[in-house]
Amino acid sequence: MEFEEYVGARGQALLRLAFVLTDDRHLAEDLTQSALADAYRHWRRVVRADHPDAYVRRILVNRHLSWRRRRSSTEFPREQIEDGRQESDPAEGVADRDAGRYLLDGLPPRARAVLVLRYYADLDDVAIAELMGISASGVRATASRALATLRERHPDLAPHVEESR
Amino acid sequence: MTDLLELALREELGARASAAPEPVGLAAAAIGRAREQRRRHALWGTAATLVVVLTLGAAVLVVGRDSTTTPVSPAASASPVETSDDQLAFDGVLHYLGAQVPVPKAWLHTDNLACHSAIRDAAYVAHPDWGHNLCAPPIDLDQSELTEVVLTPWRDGAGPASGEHVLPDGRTQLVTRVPAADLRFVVTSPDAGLARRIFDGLDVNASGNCSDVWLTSSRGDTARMGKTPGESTLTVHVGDMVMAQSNGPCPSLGLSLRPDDGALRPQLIAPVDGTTAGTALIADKPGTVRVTAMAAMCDGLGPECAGGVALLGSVDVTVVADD
Repeated sequence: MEFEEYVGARGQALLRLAFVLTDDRHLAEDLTQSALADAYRHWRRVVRADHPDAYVRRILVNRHLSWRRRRSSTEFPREQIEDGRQESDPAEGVADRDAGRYLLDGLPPRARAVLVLRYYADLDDVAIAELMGISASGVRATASRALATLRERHPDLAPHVEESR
Repeated sequence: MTDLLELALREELGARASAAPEPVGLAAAAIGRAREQRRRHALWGTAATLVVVLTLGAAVLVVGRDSTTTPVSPAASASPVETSDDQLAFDGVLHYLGAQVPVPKAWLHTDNLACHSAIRDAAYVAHPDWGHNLCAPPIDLDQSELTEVVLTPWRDGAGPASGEHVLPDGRTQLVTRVPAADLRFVVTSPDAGLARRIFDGLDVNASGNCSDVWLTSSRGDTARMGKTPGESTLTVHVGDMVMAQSNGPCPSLGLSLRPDDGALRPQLIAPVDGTTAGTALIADKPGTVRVTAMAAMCDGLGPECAGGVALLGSVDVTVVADD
């Protein structure tokens, strides 16, 4: 398969994945181009892989996390502020989403990536682990913590439901 | 049991994805970017080779440390310190502009860095004028398990704020400004206890160890090394001697000359008791040369610190014909 063919077939899916990871149109385009540039430079290795698409997706996700880490070393971390957020009223969660804020807003990048890969890309924990270069138990733990955080923030969505996966 | 949260996540992510931009010219843009990266890698390789050549040249100019006139700070001569719990030996010292931090010697090795980013536990000097955009770090690198100790010139708003932070990847980051040397000191580690021990080890001896380097001509004119290229200038005459001096022992102080076109000619001089160590240049012919001072980030220029030099500053020296 030629590089241009691959991008024609899978470019939009990669751009969408980048967009849900970054939540920013420009960053998503930059991230996708950057990941595809890496793939192009190693194209012979990519097409030899069993799953070229997984290979490129891996580049994209890891590059995204790497960018976040690099920015985090030059930015004041927001996590403490975000983690301190309290929502005692379930209606606030609904109001937040109605106001254009999103469920994943404020989650650490790694947790956000795990949930995106699980609930958007529909990958199982083993595939996510392989893609992110961490263990499957690490994926489960990260997802579990992230879901617990979201449930605390949005009790209207799962007041009495346990994680089913 | 159906989980409303999971359903909401799937619904929201699907909706968000449908709002993604359309891919226009994606393949062409990626190919263009890949070619640009290749070009930059080649450029960076050339630049790195040039730096190594200049560093080796500068090493020839090394003047030994003058231990008879300037006291060596306790940190610089620190004997190995064993940490209490993980047996890490703090048997090396990261130096920069008078700031000294005991660290494991292996962390000083420049193999721990790729494109000025740590790929293993590392202690290093990050200079904002180095070409960070000329290369790309490894794409699959997970830094969440890495410990990094960084000294870098202070630039307002150009780094993490002072204080203790927890990064998104879970690492603890301790940051402070070192006013005496105008540096930012950053320790980042997954082990908060280790980060604090390293952080507490910072010692500052701003009156020595390369915190101040200057050039003096044989006519008595002086120019202090400026942190920004072009900031500091000195005019000398053909036949003048120009001395590089520091206010204390600089580990392996060396000078690079650009262009090295013969306007200034390096000359080794022997340190004399009672004087600070120095390096001499002879003004041979008219021209302008940027003289940059460098020093090793760690003691000596051995293999464990090969190429691990920090830029101390530069002076643009103009040589004019004698009138």
